[in-house]
Amino acid sequence: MTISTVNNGSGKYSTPSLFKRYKIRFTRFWHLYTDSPFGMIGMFLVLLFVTMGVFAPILAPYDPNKTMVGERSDNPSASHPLGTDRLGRDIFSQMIYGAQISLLIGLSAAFISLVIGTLFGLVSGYYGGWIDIILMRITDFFIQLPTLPLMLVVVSLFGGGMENLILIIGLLGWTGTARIVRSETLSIKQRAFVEASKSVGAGNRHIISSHILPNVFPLIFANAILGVVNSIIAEAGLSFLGFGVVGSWSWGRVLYEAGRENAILLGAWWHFIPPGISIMLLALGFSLISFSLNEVLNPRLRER
Amino acid sequence: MDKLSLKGYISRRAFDSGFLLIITVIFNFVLFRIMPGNPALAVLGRTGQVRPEFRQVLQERYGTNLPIFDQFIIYIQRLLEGDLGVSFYYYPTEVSELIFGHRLLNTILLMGISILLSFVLAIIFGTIAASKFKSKTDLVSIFVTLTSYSTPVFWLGMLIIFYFFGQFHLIPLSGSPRIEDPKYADIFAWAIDYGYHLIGPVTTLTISFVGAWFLIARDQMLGIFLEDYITTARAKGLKERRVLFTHARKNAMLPMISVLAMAMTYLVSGATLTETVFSWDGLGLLTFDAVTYSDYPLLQGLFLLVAAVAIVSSFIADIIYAYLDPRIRY
Repeated sequence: MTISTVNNGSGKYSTPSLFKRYKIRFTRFWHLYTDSPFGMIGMFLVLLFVTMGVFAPILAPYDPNKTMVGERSDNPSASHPLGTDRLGRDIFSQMIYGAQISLLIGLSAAFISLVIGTLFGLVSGYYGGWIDIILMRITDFFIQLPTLPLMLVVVSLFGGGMENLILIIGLLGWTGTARIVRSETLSIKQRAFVEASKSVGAGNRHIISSHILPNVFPLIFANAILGVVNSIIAEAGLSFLGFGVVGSWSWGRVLYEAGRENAILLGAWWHFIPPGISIMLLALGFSLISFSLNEVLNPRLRER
Repeated sequence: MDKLSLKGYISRRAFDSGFLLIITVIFNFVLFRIMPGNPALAVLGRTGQVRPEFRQVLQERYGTNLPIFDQFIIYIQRLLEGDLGVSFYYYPTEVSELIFGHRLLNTILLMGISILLSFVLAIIFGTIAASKFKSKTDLVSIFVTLTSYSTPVFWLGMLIIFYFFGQFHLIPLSGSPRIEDPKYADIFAWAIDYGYHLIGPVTTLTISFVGAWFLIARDQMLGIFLEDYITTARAKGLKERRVLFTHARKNAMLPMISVLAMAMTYLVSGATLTETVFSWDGLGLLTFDAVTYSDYPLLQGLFLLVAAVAIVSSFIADIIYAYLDPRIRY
């Protein structure tokens, strides 16, 4: 992987600017990505919900916390497209605001997981030996802890504020990434070009940053987006069980309220179908993006 | 370090696992005892559920008035005797009694059936999709499984209850029949009703697991299809099905073993969300109750069980891995 370096005669080497190189790479990637219908659908879904979240104060017809005494447990109507809950709060507005929480928690938690997981996986897989054993024992330890119950315990001990929820989901969600990055590192490390690089005396840092990382990066990148999906779903689960962010509306919390009001048995589909579909569509959006990225960035699959 | 015999590898992994188990026991003790002050008491006090007899029991059984190190010794002694303490919420029921009873059986049955079903389905779908790479079948099955992966499992359960119980009256609402219930004339009557109640939660979990495992299976198969021996097998004129299910599948099984090893933990941890939605009286629901009522001895017991199963199953998976694929030099 040498990037054309030119000796300009004065002993100095000049390379095409970093920006230009990335621009070329990105354009190539972008063409491949936009060819994939899944990727485009995914991006459309995510942008839709991002718009919904950003413009929630304008889009929502009511304050989601405002209780309207005369309009409790109303069926859908022109003024309340999805009816109202038992305290007379507008469900449609709760739904609109829900996009904010899901996106915020999903993205931040996934980022935390990504950084920790990649570091653990790379170092563990590359160096092997005692470092690998210690790091993988830590990973095993976190993997073996059942995620949701552990999240519940921590939330119930330390409270369920926004920051806590992000930290908990992020700190418990990195193990998958670490394992995948490690196993990929293990197999890449055995390949001929790494051996070759070693034999000409390349250092560990160089090998990791210019041979291992570029090769595991596609996997990491697609995996990070999948991390967003997992975080969104984890938040929904915690909120549904009643351990979510107090005071702000997430789709999981709308479902929690629907459960408390027995919406399923009362047939109040407008209370539990729309929030569930929203979670599903947003998560599907990210899943589709992740899948398409995997296809585009994974040369093994492109060869065919 | 590089070339370990299988025997050497196994004994080292056994040592690691034992070590991990000890760490888990210590962690389990520390997590629930040192957190905010003395949580066993502090938490009870905070939720206002403290009863004088609890304090009594705590002092007698855990020596909560003793220094922390002595408490740890007592904890280990109790543990070795198989004593997991007494539940706060279900007082005076023993934690071991709560865990190792009908709940464990309910969870193992629910999770076992769902995992097995999902595993087989994921491999079959994955193989078919991979063999028809980029065809309509492939794309549709990807879209469907991505959708199921993106669907919160509890909401899926709610939908299944809404449609299959509420609209079509095909399944019972919720619950898990107990064999002791006098309304069952014999064991068969119970088994039929039990199976009937299993349909909802098993369907929910299977859809969700297949969504998670399908892509892994498909990806592995795709990788295998690029290998030379598959081309050779095809060139030899072997039937496509034979190539798929004998040549390719065996090699693709490898990463699926770790998937299955992880799933073993669900076998005892249960599925908190699904069990909650369907009021399935298993360990997942018990965990939710324990958290809701701050029942720390119970949570501690549940954790220890799950952790132990996880360590053992990951140990077994690693050995199978090393046995099947000598390329993996640990």
